[in-house]
Amino acid sequence: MVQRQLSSDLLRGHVDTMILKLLQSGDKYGYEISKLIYMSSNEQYEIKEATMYSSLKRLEKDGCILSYWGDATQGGRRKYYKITSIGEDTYTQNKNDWEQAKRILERLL
Amino acid sequence: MIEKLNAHVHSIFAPYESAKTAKELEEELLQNLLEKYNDHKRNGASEQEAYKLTVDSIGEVSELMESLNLQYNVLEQAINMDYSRQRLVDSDFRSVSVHDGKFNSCDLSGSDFSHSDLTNSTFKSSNLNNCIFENANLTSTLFKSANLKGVTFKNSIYNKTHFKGCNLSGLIFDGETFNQTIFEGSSLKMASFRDATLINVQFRISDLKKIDFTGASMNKLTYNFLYGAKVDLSSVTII
Repeated sequence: MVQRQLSSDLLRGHVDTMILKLLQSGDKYGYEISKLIYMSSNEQYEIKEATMYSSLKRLEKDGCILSYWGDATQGGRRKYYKITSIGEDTYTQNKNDWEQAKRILERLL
Repeated sequence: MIEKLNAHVHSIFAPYESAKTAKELEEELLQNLLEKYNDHKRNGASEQEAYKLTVDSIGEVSELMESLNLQYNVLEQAINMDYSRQRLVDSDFRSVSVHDGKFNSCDLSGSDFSHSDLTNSTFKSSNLNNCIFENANLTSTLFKSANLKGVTFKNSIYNKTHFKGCNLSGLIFDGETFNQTIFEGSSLKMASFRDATLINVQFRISDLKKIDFTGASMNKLTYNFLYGAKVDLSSVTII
């Protein structure tokens, strides 16, 4: 359990980038994003709703993503998120930063 | 179980109910959780298990609320606004912060100012018929010659609030706390201040007929003002 907590703290710092990457393949709504993160991580990382939303709100505020309400399905409506050109740039930047950090950490750890 | 989930999510957002951003996030989160709950059940979880897994996946509620506050700040840019001479019937001013706002000569009847911060704002000659001021901050707010008929005041802050030439008859201020509030040339006929607390409140040339102070607490200065006006203060506590 402690092990899981640690890794989730490490991963948490990259949630913004994970979401930006997922949105590059098309607009998605909240639950879709969390499901894709769970599946793409080989069921090893389950993002909490609160973590996801604090990231989504931050990205929206920074102009990296836009949101819009979709049509109602199964009784409720879904809010979709769309990546902007600012978001695309942020993703590329973050991804480069990570590659660099990874190289440094691999030497240091 | 779905009802229970609904109630759980609602209880998280209840304190922020008045903010539009909170309402939308609540709707969004609930929709996610309902789909998640159904997926867990489809994968063979019992109702109890599915509920627990779903609720656990919300995570830290405080983190969720922080993301709301980011958007609150956007709302709070509405300072120094001038809404004078406009017809703003049934407007939604909930949770807005309008320091030094001017609401002069406008028709605001039926508007909702709950959870708003109206510090230093003025309402001169405006129609506030049936407006709602719940949990509003009315510090140094001036109501002058305004129509306050049917207004709801509840849990608000009345520090140095000034009511001048207003008709406040029959209004209910039960349990409210007044500090340096001024009622001047206003009618407070049949107004109710049951169990209210009044510190340094002034009642200047106002009609105080049948005003109700049952169970109210007040300091000496306030008491003296009212004593001179022959108000029934038999069940008032002096603090």
